[in-house]
Amino acid sequence: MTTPPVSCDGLLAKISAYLDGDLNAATCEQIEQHAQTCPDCARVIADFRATTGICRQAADAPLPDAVRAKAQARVRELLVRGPLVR
Amino acid sequence: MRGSEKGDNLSVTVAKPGNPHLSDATDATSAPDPYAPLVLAAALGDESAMEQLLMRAQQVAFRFSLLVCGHAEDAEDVMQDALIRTYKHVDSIKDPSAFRTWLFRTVRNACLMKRRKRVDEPARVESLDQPHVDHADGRRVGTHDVATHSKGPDDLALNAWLGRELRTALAKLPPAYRMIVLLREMEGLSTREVAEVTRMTEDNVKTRLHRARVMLRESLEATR
Ligand SMILES: [Zn+2]
Repeated sequence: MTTPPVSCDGLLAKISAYLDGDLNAATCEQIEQHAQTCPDCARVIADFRATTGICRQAADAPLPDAVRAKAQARVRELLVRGPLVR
Repeated sequence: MRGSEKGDNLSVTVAKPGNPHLSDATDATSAPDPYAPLVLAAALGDESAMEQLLMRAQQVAFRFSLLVCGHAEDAEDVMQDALIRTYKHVDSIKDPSAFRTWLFRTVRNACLMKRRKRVDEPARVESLDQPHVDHADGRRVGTHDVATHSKGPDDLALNAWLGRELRTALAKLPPAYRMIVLLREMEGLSTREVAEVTRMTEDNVKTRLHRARVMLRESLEATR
């Protein structure tokens, strides 16, 4: 099972599709084979994964304390008095 | 993950409608929908679920205001708007899995309305949808409002909240790209959901997400 090679530029163009699972198995294999022999592209792939990871992690951060306290007060007021109070 | 076989429609496992022509792997980078179970429970009168949902709605509004629109002083109003609309909307929801796109759409619109009211910067109203990035490799043509420089919660608190590197990197992106990064990378919406929220085609979302990732990587790299 040999697949035709992919260039560094070709890999970069497809990297998001690769990471998002939008590519077929043969193309994924091309990319993985290239990355095995090209440290630069292997790093690019790792960087892209890390970037997404940093974003996902940031999304888990709770609201800043002051903002959270205000948000909670608004919820309580709404649940007690109903939506007409603004 | 997919395909809870339970016919019970009260099951909290809300199957994603998904794209029939795409494999499961398509959603490799999208996160499970945290809202649908809360919507379902809140609609049935669970007060604690309602509280959690209302907090989450405000959290979404805060993130969107800060990261996409870049106006911390608008965040309060956008949060209030999201709170009230969510509260009113919950009872009429037929499909809990559609809530999250509804919420992001609502918050996006509230942000746009706030911008429209800013007489001093009418030109930015459309910039959420117009990235002004024309180079094929995603390099920016113009500069845009910077999300790090704004009043409201102070900078230190915001940096502690999100991390200075990421805030700075996001601020360098055009607003339309920030929106896609927020929805797809941070909130974990699927490409299809992002397309729904932004009213872009899925291909457009994918193209912009790719360019945004390239730019983010460069910025994050530069701060290391
Ligand atoms: Zn290479």
